[in-house]
Amino acid sequence: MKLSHFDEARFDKSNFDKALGSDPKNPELPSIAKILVSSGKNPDAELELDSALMLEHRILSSMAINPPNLLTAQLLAITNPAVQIGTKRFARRKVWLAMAASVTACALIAGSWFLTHRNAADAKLAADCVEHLAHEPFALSRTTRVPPTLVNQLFNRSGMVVDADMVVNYLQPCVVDGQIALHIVVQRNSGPVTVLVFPDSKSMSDLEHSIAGAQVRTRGFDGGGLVFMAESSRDFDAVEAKLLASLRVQRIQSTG
Amino acid sequence: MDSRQQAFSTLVHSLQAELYRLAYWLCKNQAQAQDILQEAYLRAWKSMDNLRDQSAARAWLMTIVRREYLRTFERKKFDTIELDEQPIVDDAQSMDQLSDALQVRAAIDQLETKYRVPLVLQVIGGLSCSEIADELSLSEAAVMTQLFRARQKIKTLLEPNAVNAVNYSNVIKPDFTKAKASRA
Repeated sequence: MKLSHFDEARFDKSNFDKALGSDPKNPELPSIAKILVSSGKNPDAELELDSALMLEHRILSSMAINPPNLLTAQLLAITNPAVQIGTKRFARRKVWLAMAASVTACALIAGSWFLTHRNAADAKLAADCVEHLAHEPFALSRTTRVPPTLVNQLFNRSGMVVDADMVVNYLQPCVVDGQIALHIVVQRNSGPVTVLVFPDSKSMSDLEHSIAGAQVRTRGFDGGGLVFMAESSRDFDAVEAKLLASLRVQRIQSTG
Repeated sequence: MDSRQQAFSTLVHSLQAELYRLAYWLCKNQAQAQDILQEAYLRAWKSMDNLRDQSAARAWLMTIVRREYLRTFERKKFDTIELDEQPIVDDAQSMDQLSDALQVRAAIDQLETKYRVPLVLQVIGGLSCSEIADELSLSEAAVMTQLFRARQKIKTLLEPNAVNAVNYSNVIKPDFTKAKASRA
């Protein structure tokens, strides 16, 4: 980005610090940091930006809480006319029956689907991965690059090493289906592609699924598994190739 | 299930986690957050015919959640401390991550409401400073100052030898058992 002289003058160290504190994801900040470094006004501007983005990542991660288990059923029960009578504040005590019915119906549908699927374990994992997307929906809209130092750090903690040029827009360790996974989002022209990297998955078949409107691909890789999810599978090949080229198969000793 | 119910079900499944997170961090109370969501989705159900566009529905529901919070809780200066709250089960990360999340959460918990609310609206709600200013009836400069101070306060509290150490007493702790089990 080319800044006008006015903007350059406006961004001295003090203004840069204020901008970092009030909106560290402002897309203009990386360019401004470069200018401040090259002009000698603030030699540490880029490091300060990295540090601010890491803090932002920590804040966002700390806010990643899950809704209560029965919330979905509770909200779906709103469409039941019997429940709507008197549905106001603190009315959820009245919806137990509808919630139980909804949960039972969901369990039956999910159960029959899994029972008839020939790769039940992988299918279940794929379904869990799709469900997991709903827990971190904000991940899909991240467009700024996660700092490479943070990417490296998080992969290392999971016992893997990754190339420095691996560009990801969201990265968060999670537990899915009882397994540690790295939740990655990569922005592509066709939209965000989510990848869950399971470093210790026992075995994963190479399968394509379509679950709840999401295209899902499962892939085994050395001692682990990858699950790709997106609205369209168009960019799966490219993201998979990049990821496999960047991820080192030799595992490092986990420092945890 | 008719098409109206189908559309509503899609709205619930796709947005409830994000909306719940916003509501929870605004009011810091699970039961109140659930009530806010119920109110928001009840309005959505009544207006389903006008809510066919998913992205418009998201913005609309997020606005309802914010306004419902401001209307009900902020006006009453409702600042509660939960004593009997169930632990929030995170999609648990590594133990290090959980520990870090707990520390940051504790720091956020210690922010005054005037600092926490703009931060939540920006980080989870995705609002710009000017949108937050409109929402809270403040000047944009005031919002920027509050956001700056919120982050400064969090940074200070997270410093290893901070004078004002993080106070964990009011923090809802994540459920570590899941992560421990997965490590075993």
